[in-house]
Amino acid sequence: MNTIDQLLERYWEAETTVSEEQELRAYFASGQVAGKHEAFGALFGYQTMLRGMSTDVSMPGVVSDDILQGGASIRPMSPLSMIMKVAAIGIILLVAIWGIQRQLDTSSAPMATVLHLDDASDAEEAMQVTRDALAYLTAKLDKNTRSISAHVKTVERADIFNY
Amino acid sequence: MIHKIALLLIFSFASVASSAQVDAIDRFFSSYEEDPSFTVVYVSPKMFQMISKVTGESEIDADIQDVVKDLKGLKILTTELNALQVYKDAKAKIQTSDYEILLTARDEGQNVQFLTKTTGDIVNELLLLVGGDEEFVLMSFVGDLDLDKIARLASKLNLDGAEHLGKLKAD
Repeated sequence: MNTIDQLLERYWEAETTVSEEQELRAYFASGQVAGKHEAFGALFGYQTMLRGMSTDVSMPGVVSDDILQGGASIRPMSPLSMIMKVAAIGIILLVAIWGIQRQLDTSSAPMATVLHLDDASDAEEAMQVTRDALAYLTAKLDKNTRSISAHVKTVERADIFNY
Repeated sequence: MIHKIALLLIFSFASVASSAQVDAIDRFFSSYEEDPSFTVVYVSPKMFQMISKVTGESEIDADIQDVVKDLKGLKILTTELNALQVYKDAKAKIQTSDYEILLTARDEGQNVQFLTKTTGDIVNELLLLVGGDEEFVLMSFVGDLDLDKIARLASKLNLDGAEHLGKLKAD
C-alpha cells in the first residue's frame, strides 16, 4: 500500500503513474496534510494551505505563478530533450569549427608558386626572362656609359668596360 | 619590356645554396614581394643549372650563353606605383651595406644606379636600380660575373630585344 511518502519518493524519481499523481493531488487538496508534507503542497495545487496562512507569505519569483495556481507540474527533464539539447549545441559547434576552417584555408593562399624544376619548358621561360633582364641591364649600362663618356672631355676616362 | 618580364615565376626559395645569408637586398626584396602592386621575378641557382643544360641545344648566341652559364641567381622587383619613393627607399637600405656604387646617372628624369658586390677581384653580384616617375626597377644578378662580357652583350641582346626597351634610342 502506497503511503504518501512512498508516493512522493516515486514522484521525485519520476516513477509515478498518472493515477498515483492524482492520488497525491487529492491528498494535498484534501486539506489534511501532514506537517512534513506541507512544503510540497504548492506543487500539487495545495492552495488551501496557502490561503490558510496567517502571515502574508507571497513568494513572487520563488515559486512561479502557474505552480501556485496548480496549473503546472514540475518534472525532471526527460532524457530525450536533454539529448536533443546537447545534440543541438554539438551541431552548432561543429558548424562553427567547419566554417572557421574554411576561412583559414581560403585565406592562406600559397605565397610562392613552385614550379617543377624537371620540366624543360620552365627552363626555357626562365632563360627568356634572364635574357630580357640582361637586355634591360645592358641597355641601361650602354646608354649611360655613353652619355657619361660624351661629357667627359679632358679628364682621363676610367675604362670600366672595354668594348 | 618589364611587362614581358612580368611573369610571376617564383621558384623554390629554400634552395639559395651558398649565399644563404640574408642581406640587405633580400630584406628589401622580402618587404615588397607580397605587395600586389609589385612584379616579382626570382630565378634560383637550381634553375640556372637547368637553363645551361637546356639552352646548350638551342640557338641562343654563344656569348649570351657564356654569360648565362655563370649566373647563379636573378631577382627582379619592379613597380609603377610610387616609383620614386621606392627608389629612395631602396637606395637608403642598400647603399649602407657592402655594395659599391659603380655608376650613377640621371637620364631624362630617370635615376639609374649600378652597384656591385665583390670578393677580391670577382664580382659576385651586380645590382641595377632604376627609379623614375614611371617605373622602379631593382635587378640583382648573382654569380661569377664578368662585367666586360656582360657589357659586350648589349648589341647582341638589343638586336632581338629592341622591342623590349622602350626608352632606348640609337645614339
